[in-house]
Amino acid sequence: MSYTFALAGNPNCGKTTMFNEITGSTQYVGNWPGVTVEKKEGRARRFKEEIKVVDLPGIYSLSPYTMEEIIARDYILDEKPDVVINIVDASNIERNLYLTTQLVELGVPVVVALNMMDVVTTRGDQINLKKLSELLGVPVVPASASKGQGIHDVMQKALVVAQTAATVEVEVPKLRFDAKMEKCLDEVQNLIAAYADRHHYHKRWVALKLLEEDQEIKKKLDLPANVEKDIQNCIAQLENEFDNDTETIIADGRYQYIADVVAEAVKKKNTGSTLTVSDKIDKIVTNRIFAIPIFLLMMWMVFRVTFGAVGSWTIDFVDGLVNDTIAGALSSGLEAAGAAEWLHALVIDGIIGGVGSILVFVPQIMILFFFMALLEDSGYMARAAFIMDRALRKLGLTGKSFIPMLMGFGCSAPAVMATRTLENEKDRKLTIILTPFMSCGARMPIYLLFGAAFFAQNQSTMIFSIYILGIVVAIISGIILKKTLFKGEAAPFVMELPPYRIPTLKGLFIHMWDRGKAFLIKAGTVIFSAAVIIWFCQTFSFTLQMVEDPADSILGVIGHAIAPIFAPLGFGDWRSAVAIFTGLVAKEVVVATLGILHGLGEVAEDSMELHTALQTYFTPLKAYAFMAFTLLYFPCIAAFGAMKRELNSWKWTLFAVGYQTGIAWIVAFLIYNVGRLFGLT
Amino acid sequence: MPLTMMTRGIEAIVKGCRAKDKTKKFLEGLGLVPGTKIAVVAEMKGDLIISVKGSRLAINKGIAQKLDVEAA
Repeated sequence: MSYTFALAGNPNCGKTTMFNEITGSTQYVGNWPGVTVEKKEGRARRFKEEIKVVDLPGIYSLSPYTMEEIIARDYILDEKPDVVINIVDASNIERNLYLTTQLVELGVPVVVALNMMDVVTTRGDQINLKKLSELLGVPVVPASASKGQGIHDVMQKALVVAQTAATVEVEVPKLRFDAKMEKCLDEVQNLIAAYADRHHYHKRWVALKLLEEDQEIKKKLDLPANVEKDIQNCIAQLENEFDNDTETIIADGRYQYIADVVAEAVKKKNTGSTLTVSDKIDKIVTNRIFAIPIFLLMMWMVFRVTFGAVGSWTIDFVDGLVNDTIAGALSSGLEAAGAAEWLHALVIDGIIGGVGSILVFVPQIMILFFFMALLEDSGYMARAAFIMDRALRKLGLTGKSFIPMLMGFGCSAPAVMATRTLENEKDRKLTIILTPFMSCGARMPIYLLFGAAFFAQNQSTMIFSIYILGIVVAIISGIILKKTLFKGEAAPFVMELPPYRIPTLKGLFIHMWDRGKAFLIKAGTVIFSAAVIIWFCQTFSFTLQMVEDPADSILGVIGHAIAPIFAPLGFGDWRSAVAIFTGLVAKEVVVATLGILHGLGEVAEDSMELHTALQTYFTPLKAYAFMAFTLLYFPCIAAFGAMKRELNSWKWTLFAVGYQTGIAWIVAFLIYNVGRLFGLT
Repeated sequence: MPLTMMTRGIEAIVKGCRAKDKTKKFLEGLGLVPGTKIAVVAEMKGDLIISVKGSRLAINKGIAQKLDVEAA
């Protein structure tokens, strides 16, 4: 027999940790809401039976107001998993049981995994599991996922429930509302019984949803007008009697029931509202005077380590490893094997060159992602979003846009994917359009190359100014777009702040790896292919003849054709045009292309020969305009793909990259021409 | 009175919410229904961190203005 279990629970309830422990896969463990919006699946370890486990998005309720809620609900209703394992944070039980009351109503067997029992024990609270199970009408199994405890018991229980589901009737939900509400519920149930059966939905649940005026369910049932009218009458009657809308009456009823359950089953040692350690930290980090300085200090430290001494050391290390050790060994190996000259060139110049230029940045990106994981897992990231909300609101964004934007300094592709945590579509679109302006790690080699060749005296200042330029362009774009295409206020900011905790090293590395992996895969696939194609296109002409002068090659011809576009920006020579063209694939390729086209084979960005070669084509002003252009234009294929997925619209995706490229042209044009007016060269 | 007028550290009881349906429903999922006891833990220029049913919620000033409370 094979079974399907679905994991459902609030954000921050330890669901992802539980999922990882059950399936043994190493996945992302995070803190902010909606982190597992992707449907993750795995197979349960240590069971003879074939058990598929599906990780549903973290949600607070089953109302259809967020993407995550709709995904989770539709999955349970339509796919009908054998068991829904509802993970409940025992240390925050009242709030967590709200979802439980709704899951139970769906008519699918539910097993409650009472997680974070260790926290409850430490606090000195007591939970009567048997009582809780009786009151809720579902099995309750204690667990501490972060300590690896109780997980097998949860699965074992779920398996028993799944195996006996066919013979045992699912218990009727114990939750009863006010008598008047119950009367209306009965009426509506009778009205819609036939329609609910057609979809195999639980009648009581459907009736509740209809009383809540749930549009999704209405659409699915397609009720005749007279039935709809009767339901409307019920609603009007209830709203009149309770002097509140039905949704609130029902929510209130749920919480009242939960309060009763908790009063009977949970004994709290400390009922007073004393400040926790987390609260005390929050008083400092969100203090009106210290909040911003503390935030800036944190960011400064992250960037200092990532892009400072530690980061550059790793770059030098990998550079030496790839471009000297590996390239050297391969080169002599190929020569010894008597490989043809073209093969040698393909492997050394094309592949090692192209892929190597990216591998160099992997450690740096990993360091950045490590710090991100640290900020998230410790709980500070949620506070940073809160602190930044006010400022971002002026740009038409919200505090939640901050997290993707910060990630954008690492790699735009995962950053764009992280915008899923924004529940408002308008905010999400705007964040996706602006995030690529944050200079990603892949653009760094371009700045390093041009910085070293043209701004030897004040290299780090010039590079830093490019990062600032990206932020400034994002700010101005935000203000412009907010006033034009994205009118109206950003979604109100509501975010749960998980308690601060000391992250585990294992958790941090899993988290870091999960994000960094995408970058490595990109190096191995997209960039690898791009390197081969670029090498081919600059070695052969359109007639497929090997060319002596790269100017006659396929790339050379393309470069000559598009170069005039860039002439007003100061870099109208065909090599720069080709580099920008190939940079569409990935920004790392820009440097590799310049190296190849200047006939130097594969070069690192600190190559003196390339510096000299570039100095004959560029002036410092032109170089800066070029850096600005490469910062702002079309991000890369990987980011483009991510944008398409998240925007789910060709129109918006093309608008976004069109806007970015247009802005890049305008900014580079202004830098070059205004600079010349001021007599700069 | 709106939550923005509440003194920090003092407990209050939610009376109602004047936010849009979608926001209101989301807040209900987080425990903010009439009758819930809440307390302001920290305040930053009108934006608040509040304690609701054992969890901490960060909400901006706009939301705080739409939440009606009365002293507990």
